[in-house]
Amino acid sequence: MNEKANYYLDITGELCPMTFVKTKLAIEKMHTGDTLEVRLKGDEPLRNVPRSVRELGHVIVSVAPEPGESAGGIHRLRIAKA
Amino acid sequence: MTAVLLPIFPAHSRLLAEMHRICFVEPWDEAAMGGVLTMPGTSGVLASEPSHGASPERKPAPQGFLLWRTAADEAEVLTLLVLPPYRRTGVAGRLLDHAIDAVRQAGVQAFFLEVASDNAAGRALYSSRHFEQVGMRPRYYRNSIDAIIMKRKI
Ligand SMILES: CC(C)(COP(=O)(O)OP(=O)(O)OC[C@H]1O[C@@H](n2cnc3c(N)ncnc32)[C@H](O)[C@@H]1OP(=O)(O)O)[C@@H](O)C(=O)NCCC(=O)NCCS
Repeated sequence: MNEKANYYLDITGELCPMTFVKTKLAIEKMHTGDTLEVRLKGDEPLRNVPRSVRELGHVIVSVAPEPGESAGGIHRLRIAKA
Repeated sequence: MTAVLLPIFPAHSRLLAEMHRICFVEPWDEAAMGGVLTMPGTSGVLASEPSHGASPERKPAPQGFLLWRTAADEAEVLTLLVLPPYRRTGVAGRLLDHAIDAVRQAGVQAFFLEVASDNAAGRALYSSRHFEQVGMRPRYYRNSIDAIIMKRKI
């Protein structure tokens, strides 16, 4: 869990649907078992990105707010490629 | 001259990205457009000049397009644009009417979209098609403009 992800992506400046699209494009460059840490902001990507990633068959390893961030603030999402 | 409406496929990514770049300050590049077009549930319609309006040296010009996404009984407009020379001739209205018919046939109950609060043309267009404001995301866009969430029952 605390191991570093292989890949990192910041989508805090993106809007729907680019939040998901940028995540999907990043996953496509990875190999099975690789992990991606995504930094995202706001409830909308927090609701939609993990759901859409699961629909593609990948695993959501964890989702957690960054230290000091509120429920709708900046979160880190850890994804493992299936 | 009345535009013809054509279905959109992922092979159109490059053309659509070029058109997007002309119309938006934060355009989707070709890879991003391809990503949108291959997302589960995405559909699209392109408005083109009819081929009899073009000459052998000049191919029919694309005028605008609309992409939407359907998930269960809801749909959402992803992007809509009409290139400046073809605006105010009813192209966007036709694209939107086409999408409304298509989602209705797919069993959709509610059609959603987001529009910047300072986008008078977009808001007037959506109101003309009976979309109503149902919410707002304050300072949603990068320049701190609010996003207006609109919905139309299908
Ligand atoms: C918004 C946009 C798609 C409208 O395209 P269009 O083809 O010119 O729209 P239409 O000719 O079909 O207009 C239909 C109705 O919308 C309204 N409308 C459209 N443009 C308008 C404008 N500039 N000012 C006021 N009302 C407008 C009118 O009610 C119009 O009906 P009318 O011409 O009979 O008065 C176009 O201006 C555009 O591409 N803008 C930049 C991208 C954008 O903002 N997209 C929407 C983001 S959500």
